[in-house]
Formats: sequence, C-alpha cells, structure tokens
Amino acid sequence: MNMSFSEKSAWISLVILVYVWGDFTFGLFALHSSTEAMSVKRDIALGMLGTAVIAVIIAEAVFHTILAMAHPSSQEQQGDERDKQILLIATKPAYAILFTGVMVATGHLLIVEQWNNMIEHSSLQIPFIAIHILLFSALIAEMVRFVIMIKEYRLGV
Amino acid sequence: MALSNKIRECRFFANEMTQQELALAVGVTRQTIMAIEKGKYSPSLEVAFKIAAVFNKNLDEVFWYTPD
Repeated sequence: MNMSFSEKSAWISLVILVYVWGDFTFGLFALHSSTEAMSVKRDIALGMLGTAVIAVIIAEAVFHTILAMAHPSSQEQQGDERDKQILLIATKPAYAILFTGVMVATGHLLIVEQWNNMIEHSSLQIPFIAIHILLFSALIAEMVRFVIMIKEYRLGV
Repeated sequence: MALSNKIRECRFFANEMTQQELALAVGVTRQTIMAIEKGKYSPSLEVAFKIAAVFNKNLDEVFWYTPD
C-alpha cells in the first residue's frame, strides 16, 4: 500500500487506541458486573487506567519512532496541504463528539451536586463515572478522527 | 471530480519525470501528486500554479475544469 507518513501515523494510532482502550473497556465492564465493594473497584479501575495510559505512551513512542526513521524527510513528516485538509475534515466531527461528552459529563456532575441520593441508588456501578464519560468521549472522538482520516486518504478528498 | 489534469502526460514529456521529483519540486508529498493525478484530490491554486511552472506551461494547459 502506498501511504504517506500522516496516513501511516493515523493507522498506528487507531490500532493502538482500539487495542489498548478496547482491553480497558472490557475490563471496566467486567468490573461493573463484579461483586466487589466500590472502594475496591475504584482501586482496580485506577490501576487499569494507569496501565492503559502507560501502554499507550510506550506504544505510540515506539511505533512513531520507527515510522519517523522510515520517513526521515522533515517535509514528509510535517505533511502538506492535503494532509492538513484531511486533518481539518476529520477534526470537525471529532470535536462535536468530544463536546457532547463534555456536556453529558457536566450534566452528570450537576446531578451529583444537586441530587446526590440519586447517584447512591443508581444501578451504574462503574467507578469514576464522570471521568469515564469524559475519557470515552475523547477516545470515541479520536477513533472517529482516525477513521475519517484513513477514509479520506483512501477514497480521496 | 470536475477538475481534470494531464500531469502524467506532462511528466512523460519531461524525460519521464518521477512523481517523487515533481513532489520535491512543488513541495508536497509523492502521495499528494499521485492523488492529484488520479483525480482524487483538487490541489490549491498555489500548488496547481507550481506544477504548471515545473513543466513551463500555463495553468490551463495542465488543469481544466469540466462542469458536472
């Protein structure tokens, strides 16, 4: 396949995102169904989050270093007008998703502040729910951005 | 896409200039030249002028617009 630096970078980030955060998501659902106390769930969730963040940083650094070595030209790494246009096209819907997530998390925090007993009787047993709403909106936004970028590179702007 | 071009033909008559050579001369990536040739991407006016200049041609000799 004939791919530019930016397209390869989008592929790498998409695969890392799906693999690492996909594993984190499955872990989180398993935690939701488990019978552990909420304090224990919080510790486990923090550990999972830390592991996922470190794994993403290491994987991104390693694969992007290899990619940069394969494309040593700084002009290629910076991209051209087509790369910038594709990035702009992909960023628009990603921003909308992220903004929606921020609004939902704000609404959740408002409910927590105003009607705390509602949360106590909630069937949702996921620790740090507001943080997870924000985290997953960012992850979905990133996923959408990479998918649209790859689609635009493959099918044309 | 309504914008057509004859970059491939121009490259042929410029001693089989490669896409990489044209990309370097214009300041874009080879993949962008490839996308322009295939009609998958409409370049900016600046890049279109630069491409025409590389072949010592006017813009309308390399690119032309066909209404849908």
